[in-house]
Amino acid sequence: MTALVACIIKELRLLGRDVHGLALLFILPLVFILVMSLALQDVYAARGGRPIDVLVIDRDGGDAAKSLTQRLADNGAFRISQTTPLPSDARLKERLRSGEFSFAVDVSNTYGVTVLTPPKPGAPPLLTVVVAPDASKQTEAIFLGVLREAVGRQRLDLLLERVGAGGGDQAAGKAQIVTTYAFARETPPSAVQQNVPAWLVFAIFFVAIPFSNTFVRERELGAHRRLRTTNVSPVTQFFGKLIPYFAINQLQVALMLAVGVFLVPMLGGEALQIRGAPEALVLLSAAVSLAALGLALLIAVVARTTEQATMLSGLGNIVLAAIGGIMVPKFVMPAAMQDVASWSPMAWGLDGFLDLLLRDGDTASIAPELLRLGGFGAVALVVAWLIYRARD
Amino acid sequence: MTIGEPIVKVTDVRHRYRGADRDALASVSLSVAAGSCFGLLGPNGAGKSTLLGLLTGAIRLQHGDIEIMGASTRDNLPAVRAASAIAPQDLAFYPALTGRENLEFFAGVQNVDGALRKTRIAEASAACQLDDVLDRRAETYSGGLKRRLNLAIALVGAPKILYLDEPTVGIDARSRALIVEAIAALKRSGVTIIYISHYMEEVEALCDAVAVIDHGNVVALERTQALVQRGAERRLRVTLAAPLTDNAVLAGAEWLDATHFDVLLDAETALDAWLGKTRAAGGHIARLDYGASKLETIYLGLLERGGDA
Repeated sequence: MTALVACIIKELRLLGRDVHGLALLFILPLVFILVMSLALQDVYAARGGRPIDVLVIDRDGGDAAKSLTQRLADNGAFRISQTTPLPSDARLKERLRSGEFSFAVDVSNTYGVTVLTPPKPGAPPLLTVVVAPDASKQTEAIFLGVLREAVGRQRLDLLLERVGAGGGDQAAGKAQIVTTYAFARETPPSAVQQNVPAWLVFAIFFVAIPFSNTFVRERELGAHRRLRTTNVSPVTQFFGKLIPYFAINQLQVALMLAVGVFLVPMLGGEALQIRGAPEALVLLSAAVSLAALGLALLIAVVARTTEQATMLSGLGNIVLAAIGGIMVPKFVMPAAMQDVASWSPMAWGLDGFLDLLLRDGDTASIAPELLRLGGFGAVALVVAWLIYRARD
Repeated sequence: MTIGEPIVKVTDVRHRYRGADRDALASVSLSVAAGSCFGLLGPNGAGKSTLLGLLTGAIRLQHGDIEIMGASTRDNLPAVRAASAIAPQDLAFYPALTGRENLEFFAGVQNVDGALRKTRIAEASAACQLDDVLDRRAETYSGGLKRRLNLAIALVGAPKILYLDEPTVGIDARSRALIVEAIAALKRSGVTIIYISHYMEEVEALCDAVAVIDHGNVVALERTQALVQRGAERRLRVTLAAPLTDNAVLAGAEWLDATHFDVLLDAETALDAWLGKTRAAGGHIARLDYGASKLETIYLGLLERGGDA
């Protein structure tokens, strides 16, 4: 027991003085989480339901034009602003370019008169839409569809009124479509909800670099040779390295989750919501750590120099991250790439975390990921041990 | 244990590395007396490190037997390892840790804990004169301090047998003197030392007995003094004031250079005869040394003659 404790203390001391290793394990993923969460929050927010800002320039000012504006506002997908006085064309485009609005709708001054008449060649348009440069084509098409639908419904209501059939039943129109969300708790994922687990898994696997380096360096220094002349067993030495790095992994999990919960909102992003069963979260972080440490030990025993160890672990992690949905979300990958991703232990870890954080998962729902990660870690540790003994 | 009782017994040990075409060690047998300092000499690649690896259990025994304090390395390695420690030729510690942290770690892996650990660290530090730098990171140490830490780490387990593989290589004269003194003190305290070095004056000063190994064979194995004396017996070294015009007139002389030659005197009257022959050849004798020799000369002679000294 004394020997194991001595090995653990030594490893923690070495890691504590390895500034680059610490930066790699804690600062790098923290920066990734902050940058990615803040940079992509608008993308996820738009997907998640943040209203699209629309500027309405009502040159008509009549009831029909006001009704149209109200119909757009009632849609809920748009946050409508109106300007007084009306801006110049140049000023309007400037406000769109600045990102203040995604669209501007210029309502003609004859809207109330012409809304029911068929369009005549050469006549001024009923509505003119100006699109911001950063609005996606997809959003533009949706917005134009909504606008056409609002004008069409308004025309229908006006025609029904003229024939004395009363106004259209907008409430009935809404009641005909029931919307439900696939997200847990009816809340869509935010950028932080997607990015924290991804970069957390990446960070956990990055232990391979400092781990394999200290292992190989110990061999190069001759300390390993000296240890072989003592009664401390290789198993004790292995566990003396694995236990501190396992603890480091758990610290990474706690720190990265804390960053998502506390730091990201302080910097203007949305706060990470910790969901799912807590015991499942603990089990999953342990399983991801086991897989990462198995891989790290395998690299450590295979590499003959610290350069080899750094290259194998650094490059290996980046490849696993790239194919595992860490750098590029799996849902945007083509089917073939998604099949490849399913072979990456990082993907298993990420799927598990997303299941917990997005879908309120529990131990049963992440059991496949736990088994895959645990199995991978165990196999890697056994293979590493066999290689080590064969070379001993 | 008193000096003389064998504490290390090596019997007919052979070792061949995988893929090698000759034995690294070929039938080596020797014994080391308890409390003594035993020198292991030989050129690079002679088999010394292999023998050290076998003695410490770092290399698995293929043939023969090694007993350390009565325990065989073949079937009782834990006992062998508990009794011994090595200060390898490489600086085998962690540069990022302080001297104290290194000592704590290596004491810990040998299950030396609590008050005993503190005592052992203090003793090892004092023996190697590291007290003033013990809380500095080892990477900031000078070459001499690093060698002393390398030795101190070997002492924290309080070994009965200490293997020292070139403990003074590459350091300044002062640090060498400190280490040699520390080793002498360990020897006086009863620790058995197996000492590998290429510094013959250190071996001559410290070692009670030596084994010279070459090409995996023991080419000499005896007490240091006897070996030195064996080479010195009947040897006359003549130093001339000036070179002779023709060295060939002194048949039988072993010329070291233009003004030095050695002769082996084979009879009591031979000294007079050689002095006469030297004068007759026109030589002016500046100095005569009789019966003086150095281990280095003997050692080189042994290697040159393949052990037939």
